[in-house]
Amino acid sequence: MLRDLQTPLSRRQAAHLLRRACVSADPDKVAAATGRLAREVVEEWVSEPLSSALYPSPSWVYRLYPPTGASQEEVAAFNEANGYYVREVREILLQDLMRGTMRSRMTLFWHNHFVTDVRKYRYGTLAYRYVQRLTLGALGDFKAVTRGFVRDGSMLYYLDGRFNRDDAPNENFARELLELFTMGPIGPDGTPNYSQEDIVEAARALTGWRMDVRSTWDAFKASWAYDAGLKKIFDVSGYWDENDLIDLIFQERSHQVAHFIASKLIAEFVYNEPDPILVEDLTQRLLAHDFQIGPTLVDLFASEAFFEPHCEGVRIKSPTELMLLDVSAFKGAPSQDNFSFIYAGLRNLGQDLLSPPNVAGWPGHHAWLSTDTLPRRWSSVDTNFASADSSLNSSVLGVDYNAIMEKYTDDASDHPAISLALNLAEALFAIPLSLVEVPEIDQPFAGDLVGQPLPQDLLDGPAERINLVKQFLGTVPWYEWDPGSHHASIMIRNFIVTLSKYPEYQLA
Amino acid sequence: MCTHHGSRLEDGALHEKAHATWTRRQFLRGMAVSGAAVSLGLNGRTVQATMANPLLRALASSASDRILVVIQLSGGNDGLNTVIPISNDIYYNARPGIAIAPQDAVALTSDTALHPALARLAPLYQDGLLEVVQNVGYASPDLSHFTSTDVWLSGRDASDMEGTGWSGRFLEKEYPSYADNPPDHPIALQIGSSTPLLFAGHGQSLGVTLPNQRLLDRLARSGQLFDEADVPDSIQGDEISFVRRVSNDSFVYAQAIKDAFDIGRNQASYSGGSTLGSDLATVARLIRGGLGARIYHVSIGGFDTHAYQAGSHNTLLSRLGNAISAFVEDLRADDLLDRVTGVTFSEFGRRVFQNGSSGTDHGTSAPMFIFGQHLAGGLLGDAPDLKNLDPARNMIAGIDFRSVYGSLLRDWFGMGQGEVDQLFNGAYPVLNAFNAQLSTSTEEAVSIPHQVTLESVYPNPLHGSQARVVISLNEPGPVVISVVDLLGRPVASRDMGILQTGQHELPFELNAGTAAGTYIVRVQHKSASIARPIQVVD
Repeated sequence: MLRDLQTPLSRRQAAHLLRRACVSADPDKVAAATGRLAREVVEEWVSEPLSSALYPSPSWVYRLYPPTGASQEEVAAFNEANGYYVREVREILLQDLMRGTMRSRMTLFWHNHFVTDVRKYRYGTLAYRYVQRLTLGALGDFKAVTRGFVRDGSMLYYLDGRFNRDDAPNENFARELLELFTMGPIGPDGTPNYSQEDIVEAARALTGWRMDVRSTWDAFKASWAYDAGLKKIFDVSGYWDENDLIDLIFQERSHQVAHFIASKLIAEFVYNEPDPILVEDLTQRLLAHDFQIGPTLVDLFASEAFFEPHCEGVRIKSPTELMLLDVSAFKGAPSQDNFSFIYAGLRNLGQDLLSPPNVAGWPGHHAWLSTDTLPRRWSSVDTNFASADSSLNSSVLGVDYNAIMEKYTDDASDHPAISLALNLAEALFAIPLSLVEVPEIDQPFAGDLVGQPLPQDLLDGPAERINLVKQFLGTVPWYEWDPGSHHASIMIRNFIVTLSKYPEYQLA
Repeated sequence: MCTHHGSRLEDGALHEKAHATWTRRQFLRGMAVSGAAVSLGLNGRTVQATMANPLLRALASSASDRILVVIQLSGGNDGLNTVIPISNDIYYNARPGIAIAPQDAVALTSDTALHPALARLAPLYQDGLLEVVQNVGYASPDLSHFTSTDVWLSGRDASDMEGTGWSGRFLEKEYPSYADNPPDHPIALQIGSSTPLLFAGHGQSLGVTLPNQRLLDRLARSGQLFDEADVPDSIQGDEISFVRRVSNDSFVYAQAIKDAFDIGRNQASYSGGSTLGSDLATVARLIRGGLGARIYHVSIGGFDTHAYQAGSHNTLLSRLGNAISAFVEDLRADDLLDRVTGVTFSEFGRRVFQNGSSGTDHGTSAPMFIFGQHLAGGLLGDAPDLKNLDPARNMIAGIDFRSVYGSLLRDWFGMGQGEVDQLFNGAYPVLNAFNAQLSTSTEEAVSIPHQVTLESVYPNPLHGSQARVVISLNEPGPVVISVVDLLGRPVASRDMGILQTGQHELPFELNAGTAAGTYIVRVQHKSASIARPIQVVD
């Protein structure tokens, strides 16, 4: 049974929860969650009003594809503009992810579940609607979202549903609907969830849905293309249409679907190799909540299992996490100009938003990290913290060094530089500092230790803390720390960039 | 879980193209530094080809194979008790408790002596293998360790700081294609220290840092920088082990460092067991092992001697003196010293006057030591004027430290004067730290230095075939410009005829169809020859 964590969140637990559930390491959010019960905190996140999640529709979303007979110039003009539309949708998605809410985190999760690829469907309007659909359904009714994808424009293009007609059935969408979007091929008991015959029959139920981008961006059902005949799905016969098919999936295979989704949620938010008992527990919750995602996630994120210490830092950061955790931790506010740069950075690291590699999505975890991508990650952090001006205020991530100094220095500390260094290190690593391999630094502390001693608990404490402080201060005696100086920013920047090259930085 | 159909990263060509576009944009934006400390020796570049041949490596790496070793004395070394003005009464009056008596000091001249702990440096000085640059500092000195260290490492005024190091900027010029096509060995290496600023270029670090000897030992022994085995027995431990394994596999310089360390041997004994000694021993070993790095940085801390300094300063200086002396002896054994120059610096010197606790507080200028085989020798610059102090009663520097760096860059590394000025964002008179027999390249000796200076080759990287070569001549003469590939095969050659004294900007056209890659542009003027790598891109 999933049991709620009964003790108030420690700072460490709050940070773990935010990293996983919100892709955020915002020190203010960590502070706000600390000392409260996990359930209370997550329930608040889940009840974030949807209205606050939506961005105003861009003006172009109703601009149709040029009509038949339009000149080449008109078509070319549309295509050119469309390239900008797609980019704008990517920016909307990125901006949403940067909010670091649980809902935006789930938008990304569903993007990697109900996969479509803009390289295939092409149209900015369809991309916008796709993102909108994920945003609205992110914490909502999984059944309803699944039903919605039957008539999603991007999906009808991506998995060829628009070609699925009574006289020329196309099984592409039907197969993935079962295999990837709802239940997976094999059930929890190890037996197949469906047969090839089920796919053929499901495809027939899905026939008739069409797109005509010259007259409307809405999908419509053409009765002439629909196969109205008798179908037998999951051993149940009837004149099933697409709505019946969704009902059958959730009636006849409810446990299998819940198990499949629960397993995926745990792989994403707890550990890549889900514990079968935990999966079964969450399956029961998902069923009890009738496939409502919000309350199910509250149960998961409030659970003792989620906060098991050995589950901290066992995920490999996705490129999005790599960037956004830093943005939030360092109070970044990237300018609109830098959005395309960040987007290009994500693509360079293997996560091209709106274009997952294939219908199974980004495989994630170990697949993110290789001798190809890790050096790119190192360079990427260099680039993200690089600044075109000497004030360091124009970095790609829009890092705010004054805020860093304020947020990570303990109030009233006699040793502000030391608390800053250690707090920053705590924020950069998801695992405890004692597990981070911090290189010993042979140099003694600079400065006159007789007149201005270091705190005894630092000197007596674990070696990694001393070495982190040395790494931060370099050759500068701690009492020379001057948060007001420009060099303080350089030191912080160098410290972050240096620590980001430690292997353990890749864990979330 | 879903079926894994593959990964985006395997898309191959398209992906590579995206990457290239991205890095190019990055480059074009001209972003200033990330200050990227590549601590732990990590460097984020993938290596495309291995150039195992040391000859090729040397050719590709630069116009010259000369090496600079930078020793940082952290904390602010007391210059007046290092190089002592033994005939100056002001010195003795100002420091009744800590002055070094003339009879204790090791005389270099009738007015100047070394601290007794530096006795082993005296023979080097007499042999012309070590010179002293006196009273070095900078205008409007800053007495914060913090700021002043940044000034010295960046080579820029405190008001003009941009977070790059002077070495990093130099290396960026020398290796213009570093980011896209890095060499298989580190071009700069920091040992036993973690001062990210020095090697920081615009947007990347050009150096590798090994914060301690034990990491180097582990690297030499196992090829691993990160311990894959010392992890908890849990899924957490499994994942930590995984990220360390990929990090180890990604550290492209591991093999080069391991090889150099295995091949190289020390030929002198570094007695005393100081960290600086073992760091310099490692540097000598890596140089002898053919690592190919151009700049090494080591440091020794503890010079912030505010209280009862006599004992501790003595210890620090004896470590310094012994380490330098052993290093010079080591490299001289097989003439490697011919290719190596060393220099010491500290972020500032200390007050003329001792303070109330038999120590000295933060001051301004201080001497630097330069050691090597091609030096002008002796004492360079004048001893500090202890009578006419600045309003804060500190010494006024006689030589700007950038004049010293300038000499190293121009005369030792063969950089053009224009480029040197650009690097420091200002013109500083260049010190003549080297003797007149030194050529601008070790490849061919010339009798007169700076007969010809190769100011720049641009654009570099070169897109297309039209390059321009800027040279300065100190006397008229025939000039031939040639381009050779990394195997030394001529690719193009142009006789420019007899050119007059002064600066010339010469158009140079590569043959159509010259393949993309690294080439060496060589300018010959009479008996002198200077070379510079150029990157040709599609």
